[in-house]
Amino acid sequence: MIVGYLMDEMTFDAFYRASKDDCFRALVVAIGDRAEAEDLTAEAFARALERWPQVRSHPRPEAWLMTVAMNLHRDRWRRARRSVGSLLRRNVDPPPLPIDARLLAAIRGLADQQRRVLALRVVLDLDTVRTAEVLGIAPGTVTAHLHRALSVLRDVLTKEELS
Amino acid sequence: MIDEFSDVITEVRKSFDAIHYDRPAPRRRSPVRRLGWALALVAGTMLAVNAWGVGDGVAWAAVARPLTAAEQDLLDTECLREVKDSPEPLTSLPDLVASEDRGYLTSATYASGDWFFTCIVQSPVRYEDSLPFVAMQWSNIDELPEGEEPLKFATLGQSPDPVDGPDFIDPTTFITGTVGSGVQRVTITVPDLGEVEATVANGWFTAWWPSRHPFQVHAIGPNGEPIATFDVP
Repeated sequence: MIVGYLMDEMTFDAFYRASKDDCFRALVVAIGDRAEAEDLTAEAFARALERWPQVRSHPRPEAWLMTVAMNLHRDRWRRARRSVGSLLRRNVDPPPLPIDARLLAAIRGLADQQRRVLALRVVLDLDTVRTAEVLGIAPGTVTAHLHRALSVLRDVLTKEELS
Repeated sequence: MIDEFSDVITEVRKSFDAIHYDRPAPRRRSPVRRLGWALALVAGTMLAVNAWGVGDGVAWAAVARPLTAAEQDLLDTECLREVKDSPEPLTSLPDLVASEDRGYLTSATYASGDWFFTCIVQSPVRYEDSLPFVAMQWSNIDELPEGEEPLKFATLGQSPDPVDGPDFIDPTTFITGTVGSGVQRVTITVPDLGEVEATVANGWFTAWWPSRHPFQVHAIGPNGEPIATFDVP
C-alpha cells in the first residue's frame, strides 16, 4: 500500500508538472478571468490527486481536469447568483496577463462556448471528439464554434499586423 | 501574415506560452482531514439532542459489542431513512458488511458492487423507537486508496479541534476500511487509550474511539502474527 501510494504521488507530480501551465492557460481562455482560473486550476488538480488512480487511467487526464474545472466554475456561478450579497470581494487585483491586450479582449469577447472550444482545441490541443465529450456537444458543433472563433481572432490579428 | 487558421492557432498558442501557473502543487489531503466532514456533522446533531459524550453514563469500550437482530433492524431503518434524504437517494441499502456498538455510538457499513455507505448513530441501548442520527458517508469503492492489501482505509474521520463552550465536541476518531483475506484482526494503538480492537467482518473493519491523537493501525494474521502497521499522524 505504501509503495502504491508513493508511486501515485510520483506519477501525479509528473502529470502536474507537464500539464499545469496548459490547463491554466485553457481555463484563462475558457473563463476569461485569471484569478478564477487560478482557483479552479488549484481545486481541479487537488481533486485529480485525490482520485488519481481513476484519473491516470483516463486517455486524456487534462480533459478530465477541464471537465471538473468547468463544472466547478458553473457551480460557483450558480452559488454566486444565489448569494450575491455574500460574494467575497478580492482586495488585490491580480497582475495583468502578459498577452497582447487586443488579443485578450478579442478572446473575452467571444461567445462562451466559442471560448471553451478554443481553450480545449487550440490551447489544450484536444481533438474534436474529446472536446465534444468534455463540453457535451456534437463534434460538428465544436467545428462550427472553432471556425467562428478563429475567424474573429484572425481579423484581430490581421488588423494588429497592419497597424 | 495571418491568413490561415493554422497561423491563428500558432499565434494564440505562442501568446499563451507566456502565461504560467505558479501556485504550489497540491498535496494529498490527509485522509483524516479529508473525511472530517463526516464527524463534523456530529456537531449539529449533538447540539440538537444534547446527548453526545461520555458523561451520560454510556461508556466507550475498547472491544465493541455486536448488535442484536432487533437493534440491527432499527439501525438499518434509520440509516435507510437518512440515505433517502441524501443528495443521492436510494430505495434500499446495500448489503450490511460490518456493524458494532461501542459505547455511545453505533455504526454500520454497507457495501454493494462498487460503492459503500457508512452510517453512525447514537447507541441503540438508550433509544427504543428511533436512533438519533449522527453522520454518514458514502463513496465509490474504486475511490479507495489504490494499493495492495492488507488494509485499505475507506473512512477516516476525526472530530474538529476541541472548542470550549456550547459547541464542544468530545474528541473522536472513526475509521472503516477493507481487509485482505489474510487479516484476522485489526487493532489500533491509541497513545491515551491503549489498544482498540476493531470489528472485522465480511472483509471490512470498523472502530471508533474518544481521542484525536495520532494512532497506529495493525493488521494481524490468523495466528496472531503482525502483518502490517500503518501510522496515521
